[in-house]
Amino acid sequence: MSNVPEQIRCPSCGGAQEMQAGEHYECRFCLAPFTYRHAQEAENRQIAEIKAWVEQRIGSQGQTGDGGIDASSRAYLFRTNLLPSLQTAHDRALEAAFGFEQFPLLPSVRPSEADTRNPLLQRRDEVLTLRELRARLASPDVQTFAVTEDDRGKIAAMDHRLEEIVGLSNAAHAAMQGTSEGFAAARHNLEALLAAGELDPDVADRYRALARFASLMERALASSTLSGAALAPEADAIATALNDVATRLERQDRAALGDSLAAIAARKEANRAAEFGRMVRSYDAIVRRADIGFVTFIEDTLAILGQAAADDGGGELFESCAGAFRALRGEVPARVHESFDWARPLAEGRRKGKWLRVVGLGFLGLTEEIAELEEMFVPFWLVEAGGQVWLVDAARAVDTPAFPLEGSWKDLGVSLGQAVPVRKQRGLIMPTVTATRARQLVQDALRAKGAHNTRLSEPTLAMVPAAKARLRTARGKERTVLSCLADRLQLRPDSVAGLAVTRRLQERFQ
Amino acid sequence: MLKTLKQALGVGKAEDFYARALAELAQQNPGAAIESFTTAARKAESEGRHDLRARAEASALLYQFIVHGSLESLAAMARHLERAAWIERPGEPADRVPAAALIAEIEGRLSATHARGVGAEAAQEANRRAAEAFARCGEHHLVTYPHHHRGDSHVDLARNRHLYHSGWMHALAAEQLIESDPDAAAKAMGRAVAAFAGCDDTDRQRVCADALRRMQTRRTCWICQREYPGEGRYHGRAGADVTPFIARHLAAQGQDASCVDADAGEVVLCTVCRTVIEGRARQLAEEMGAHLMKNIDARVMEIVQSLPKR
Repeated sequence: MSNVPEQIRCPSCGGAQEMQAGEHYECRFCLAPFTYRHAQEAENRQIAEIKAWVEQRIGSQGQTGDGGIDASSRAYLFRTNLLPSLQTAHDRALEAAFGFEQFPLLPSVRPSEADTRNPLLQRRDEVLTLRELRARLASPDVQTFAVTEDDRGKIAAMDHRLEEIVGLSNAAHAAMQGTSEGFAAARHNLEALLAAGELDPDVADRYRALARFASLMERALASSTLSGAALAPEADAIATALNDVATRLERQDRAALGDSLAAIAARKEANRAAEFGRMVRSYDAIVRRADIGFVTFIEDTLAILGQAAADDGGGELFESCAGAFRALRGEVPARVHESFDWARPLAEGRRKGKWLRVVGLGFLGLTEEIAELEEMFVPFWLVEAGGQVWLVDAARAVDTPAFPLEGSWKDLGVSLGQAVPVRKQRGLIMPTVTATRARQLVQDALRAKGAHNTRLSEPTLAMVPAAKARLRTARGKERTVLSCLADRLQLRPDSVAGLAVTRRLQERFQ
Repeated sequence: MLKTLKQALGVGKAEDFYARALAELAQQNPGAAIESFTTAARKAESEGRHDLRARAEASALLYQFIVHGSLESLAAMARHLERAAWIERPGEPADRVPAAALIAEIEGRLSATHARGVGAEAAQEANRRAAEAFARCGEHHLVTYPHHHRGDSHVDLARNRHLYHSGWMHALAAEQLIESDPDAAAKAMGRAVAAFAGCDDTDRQRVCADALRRMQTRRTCWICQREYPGEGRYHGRAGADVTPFIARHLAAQGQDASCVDADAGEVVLCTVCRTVIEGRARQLAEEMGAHLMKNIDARVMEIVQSLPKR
């Protein structure tokens, strides 16, 4: 008989690996690298430790298989000397994962800080030590004393729970890498749990939906060319499946403590799947070049929109950007005020030292000329509430004011009242405030005015004209003048800073 | 002109006064609107228009609540609403609020007031009734809650209000169940966590999740060797002279090593053992104290008596 084992286990998570020719392995469950030799040494050490543990519990008879002891004595020894110790070790070990059920298992395209609070990740080192307890439960030295069906059932129940915790921790850990390989490993873990069976049908449905989600992310992140239209319906279907699971887990008659907590996670996971659908649809809408993959798109877009776009709710921001891009291209009508007549006169009026030329001192080179006049659109959210139209600056992430278009503003309200095709492509400052946030800001402003019950319309994105003039003297001294709608609206330099990046995006993706 | 004059003199139909009340509301004049609604109700009664009367009465009471914040107005309003199908949403007269949803909201709000300043059991029951009432509201946008809520959270959607009261109900149930059934208590606390998560109340979600963790934590008592769930209620730590050897020794014996913390110098004691020891220690301390006081009194008397008399 050969000494070479038929399968080898990862020394980190204990996952069974397929044998391969080379010495170097990468665990397909936790992605930890190891060598065949290292794995064998770890396994031999573990076997020796288990033997020593059994001997300590029941004496030297544990060293020789059943030790020639009759079945009823083995059953007695199991219940008095082995099972209590195994049960306590099992219960204490699971404390490392307490509360994990309420955390979504898989991150979005880029993991957020909230994901790291999952105990399966925060206490991963402790979770990984569960492999030792699993090895003990599976050991023939222990199994031989589990004579009755009931005793074997107890061992199996403990092992299933530990397997689930380790598998879920592996899945969460691997997916946190945010790569195709990471999501593939997450899928492996979920599929292994499903294959092992013994899961509650609703819990199994959740893992099945998550495995599909991991597979979707795996494909999206691996592909250099991707069709959002092909992936988005699948993302929506996964979201529906996860919401259904959450509804079932929320039922008051559910027995397991973790079910109500898992319902929280399933809802968040459903939202993430739906958000992913929005992202791939936005990818389709924004990217017009076949050589730009989804990963590049995500990386570049997040560089502009920031981590907020990758957090829960960020899909909304992608969708807004996609809407703005499409409107700029003239593919869809938009709420746009396209009057830029004021821009040049305003820049002219701001020039310094004009009088020097008039009095014949132009030769001093102190008179400012317009070096460049850039027309652009600033995004605003339009919300109808209480018979008024409200505007919220969509490009200002902090101190965003919400104000009604009343009095002298009514003309703007009228011109933004209808969606029309954009006549000329111009630069656009990328929206960084979500529609939900805009709605909240309008609601807060209404409450501050004592209007507590006003119903709000769904926010729509509107584009308002702005200009940036670069003024330069003959001596080369330069300054920039900014204005939005001839200074009727305030335009902050930090909002305009995003314009260059947006332009890069436009150039890159068109 | 004639219409205004007629209304000023109290002449006109119920519908006219109702319309006038709405116009006064549009001009931010709720006081006058309340009077017009009241007149509209009186006129509607004489005209036999029961639905209009109920709406006018309910609206008058709603604005009395909005102006004065008296919950009694809400209770009376609910009674009138039972005879109406809907009323206009304050600030949005074109939006009709179904009477059934508003009745449920008022019922929930009034139940919630009974949850304050009472014992855990009564508070749990009040929250249960409130949660049930808000569940009946469906996707209703709350009408009365945005007004006079004293800094209360979850005042926009009935769904969130339902989850908020469910969270309290389960958390209070858990606190009571811990005395009789810690496993059931943990289950209830799990539901509280889920309910608070559902209405995005992250602070309360965190507090309940921490309570849940403590309820689930099982430890073996160092003295009686019994295992109990419920950290804080059924087991806790006490200072002891423990070394790393003791923890290792326990692990080697296959015993519960988690009942020893060598770093902190503590062992786990169940509440029964701890209170027995504390009770006995207190009793001994009192006896010792009494004995010492007796000796001191005797000694003081001795000194007093030995003092020279003047």
